[in-house]
Amino acid sequence: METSGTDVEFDFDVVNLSGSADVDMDELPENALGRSIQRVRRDTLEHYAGVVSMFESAL
Amino acid sequence: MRDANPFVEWIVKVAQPCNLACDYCYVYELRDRTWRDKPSVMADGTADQLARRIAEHARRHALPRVRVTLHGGEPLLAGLSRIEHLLEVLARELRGTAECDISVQSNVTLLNPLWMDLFRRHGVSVGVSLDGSREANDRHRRARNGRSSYDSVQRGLELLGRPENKALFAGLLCTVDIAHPPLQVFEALLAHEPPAVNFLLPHATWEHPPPGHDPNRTPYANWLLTVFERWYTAPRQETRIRLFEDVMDLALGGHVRSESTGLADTDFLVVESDGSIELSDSLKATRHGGAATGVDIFAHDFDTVARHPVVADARRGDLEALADVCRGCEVVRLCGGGLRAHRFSPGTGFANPSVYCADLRVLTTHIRNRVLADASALLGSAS
Repeated sequence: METSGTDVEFDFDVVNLSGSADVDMDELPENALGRSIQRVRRDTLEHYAGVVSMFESAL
Repeated sequence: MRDANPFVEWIVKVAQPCNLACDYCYVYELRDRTWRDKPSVMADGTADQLARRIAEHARRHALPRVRVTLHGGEPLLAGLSRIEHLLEVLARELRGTAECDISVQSNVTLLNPLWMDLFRRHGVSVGVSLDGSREANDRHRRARNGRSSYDSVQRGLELLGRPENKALFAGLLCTVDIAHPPLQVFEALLAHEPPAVNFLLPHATWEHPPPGHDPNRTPYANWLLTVFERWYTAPRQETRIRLFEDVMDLALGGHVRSESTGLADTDFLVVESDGSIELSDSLKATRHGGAATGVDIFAHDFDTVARHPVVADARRGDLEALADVCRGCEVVRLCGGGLRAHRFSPGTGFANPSVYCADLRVLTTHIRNRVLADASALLGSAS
């Protein structure tokens, strides 16, 4: 994995992955945190919009 | 005035009635009674007009993909032929224009193999409303005669879990009841192997606070965080939990489509069985007619709807739409001020923090801090 801790940007008290360099997706754990990092990286790089309902009372 | 983003999702009220009488239902049991004046099912002509309007909107905005959710009441009460007509007309109108993701949100008590045949042919995914174990579910989700709905839901879930149907199982929607132990509820949901779960806070306002409301003890945050820690610390993610994932993604700098977290503008509309256009259903919890707009799919295209002041105001998710106290809050980019309906007070409208503000603050702060520390450690250790 090439991303270093210094690539993690702090913005409004959140960790911002959008400025981080190449995160090796294959090395991320298959837990909730790993999946979240994968989603955020994918959304940032591929402008992917997940197929989920915005409406709260539906999936 | 800024340009409104196009709509990409339509919640379609194909049936008004429901065969259950859940005591927290915002359609029938809270402040709104507009269902009395609407047809019980959506007529084919209304479905035709809706499909034309969606396709028109998709063409104008070059949308590659739209989403339609069949909703109610209980949407399966619309009947097989009526739903089949809507699915066919949507496919016909959108062919060559946009892909259409279609789902149905149901209690599945009426689900049978004929429904699943139809859903497989049209790729309709099925979200199921279930509050956990038999005891948790039957506390609120009973038939009008008081009978338990649990066994009927189980039959529907078994059908949905068969190999030929499993790919269409979207997951479980659970309304939080803090009277039930959170881990028991979560384990009962997990037993159905749902690909996704979402937890909904019971609809409430400052006028009608939720059961057990206590800003000093934050019982809803405590309940949800018990589930969060169980889910988050699993070495392999067992299911997706929308609320937690959204807060985590926001904490990591991502963007989410959600009306209950983050600061995104709402990009969906509700279309009632008579073709009238409404705001998010949850606003029915605020007052009679709380979701009404006065516009409809026969007289108005969706660009006109987007410019309608009531719609434009309600779909705003930015900081300026929030109460002063929210704008300066350190977690506002995570909680987004909470669901709009939950901010309502008769005297001040929506210019308030959420009635769940204290709970949301504890919940989002905990998740943010957990993710911030763990992501930094994970990415740092992997360098």
